[in-house]
Amino acid sequence: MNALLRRLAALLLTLLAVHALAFLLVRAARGGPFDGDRTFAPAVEAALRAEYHLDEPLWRQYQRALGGALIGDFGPSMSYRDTEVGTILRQALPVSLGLGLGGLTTALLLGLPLGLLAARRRGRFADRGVLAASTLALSLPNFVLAGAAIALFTFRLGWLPPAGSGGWRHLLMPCICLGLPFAAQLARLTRTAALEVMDSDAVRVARAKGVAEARLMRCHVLPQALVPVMAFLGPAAAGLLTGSLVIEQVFALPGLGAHFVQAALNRDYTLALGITVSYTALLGLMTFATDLLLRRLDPRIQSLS
Amino acid sequence: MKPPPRRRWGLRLAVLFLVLLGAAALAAPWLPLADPGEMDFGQRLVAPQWTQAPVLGTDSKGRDLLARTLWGARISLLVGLLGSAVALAVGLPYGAWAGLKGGRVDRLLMRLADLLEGLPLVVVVLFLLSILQEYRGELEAVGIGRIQVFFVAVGCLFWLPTARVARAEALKLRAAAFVEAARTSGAGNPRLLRRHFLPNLVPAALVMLTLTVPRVVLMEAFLSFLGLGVDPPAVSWGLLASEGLAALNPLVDSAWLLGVPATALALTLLSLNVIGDHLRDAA
Repeated sequence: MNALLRRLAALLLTLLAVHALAFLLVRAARGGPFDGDRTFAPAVEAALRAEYHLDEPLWRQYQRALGGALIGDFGPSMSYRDTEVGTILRQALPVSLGLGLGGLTTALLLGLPLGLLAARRRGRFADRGVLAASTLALSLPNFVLAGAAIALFTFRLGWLPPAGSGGWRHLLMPCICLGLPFAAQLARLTRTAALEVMDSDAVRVARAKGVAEARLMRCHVLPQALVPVMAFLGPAAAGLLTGSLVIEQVFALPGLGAHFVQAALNRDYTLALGITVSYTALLGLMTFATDLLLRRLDPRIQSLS
Repeated sequence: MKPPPRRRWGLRLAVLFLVLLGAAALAAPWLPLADPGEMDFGQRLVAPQWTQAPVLGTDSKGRDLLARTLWGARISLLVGLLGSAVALAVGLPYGAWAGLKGGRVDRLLMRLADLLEGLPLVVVVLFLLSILQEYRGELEAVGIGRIQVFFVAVGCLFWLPTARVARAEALKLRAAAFVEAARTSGAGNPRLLRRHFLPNLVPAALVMLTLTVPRVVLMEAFLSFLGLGVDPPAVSWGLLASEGLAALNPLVDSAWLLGVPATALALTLLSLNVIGDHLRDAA
């Protein structure tokens, strides 16, 4: 329990540090939407600066920003007129979470069975096929996958909508394109882990006792092989998050990633800051959840490094 | 363990492809190619002709796609190599120092690495890059262009795995007899690092390099695709692919605009991954 609490404290500190650093950088950067070609009358500029609290001392600004950030209020967006960053975050978060969960599900549903299959048929055709397919999937950037999928399923076959948000049909292609590279990595990891378990004494005994092959894989190999595979979920979450930047852009999904890219291009620093902090929190929670899961799976893991 | 001879042909093909591509990219200015930036609106969206010019077709502004792909290879491969070099230059000494010192320094450095690993590093670096944009003028005044900043930024994304490998190797070296001997004969830590640790880390570093280059190339494509990487008029595979994806529509068939750069990118990454896997298995 102690280790878990320490882990949470570290997460909180990281969040604070990221927020403080981002805040300082944003304040130090002299650019921003007021530095465009348009010049304001001094009174107008003063009023604008007062509205964004830019006339206060830095420490006071930081206090205000931190207090807001704690309740999810990151101030007004710099490029979307009359819109709070918090509002954008609340609208975008469900989209991104849905996409991320969909990608993760794709990765698990494809990666685990294929990895087990490859391990069971070690060195045979199915094994080689899975390995080759995973190497290929790891070499294709996800925007290429996305482009190919749109060209095929939308333009040639007309099965799925090309972009935008709506029902599950709009999420199907993005989730698969996002999850495929991680399915490939999971398949490889599962294969390696399962092979190791299959060589263990426990499995040899079970086999000698006459446990059927299918049951052997399901009840003896899979639970043990799951530990290293699940440990990969933390890094995979980081990867999914990065991938979603592109996937949301390609499929015009109004999620965090698409907003972040727009914010970076539009110099909308308050929005970029809000999303960076949200992403850090999301990733931290995901890693934390993975740790909890690992402790459930393997009681030997007591001390969290 | 020697890999079974049957699988060697994949390795040979991968090396052959990379050597040819690298040579073509290096020689691009002297090859009889069209100018990659020259627009010819009479020749827009010509499909690949394969045997005659334009061999790989032209884009929506009539620019020759073969020329653009080869010139793009120069940028993409350069970013891949230099970005990985930056990752090595940061990660190797960091990890080696942690392994060499051991104890508290080691714990502190690795703790920091753990913390960084917990960050969405790509997002943080993109955030930094976008803020750095404001200082473009100052940076250019001291001779640091956007592309140099980009090398460093991409390198920063990938130095952590290198640092971990370097640390693991350094921990092994620390116990080696010749290190012990050097230490007893009065060599200090900096000398040990320079003369004994870094040279012995070269094999591991080479493996890490081949594993890092494809990831950096992919990251360049990824960032350029988002419009946050290489700027036009320079061409890179990521930019070409993003143009190709933008041109994709149900009315005009222009699939080669995405297909050509995507194939070049995928073949390169595939080759690099195949070589990396072999090297790692052999190591």
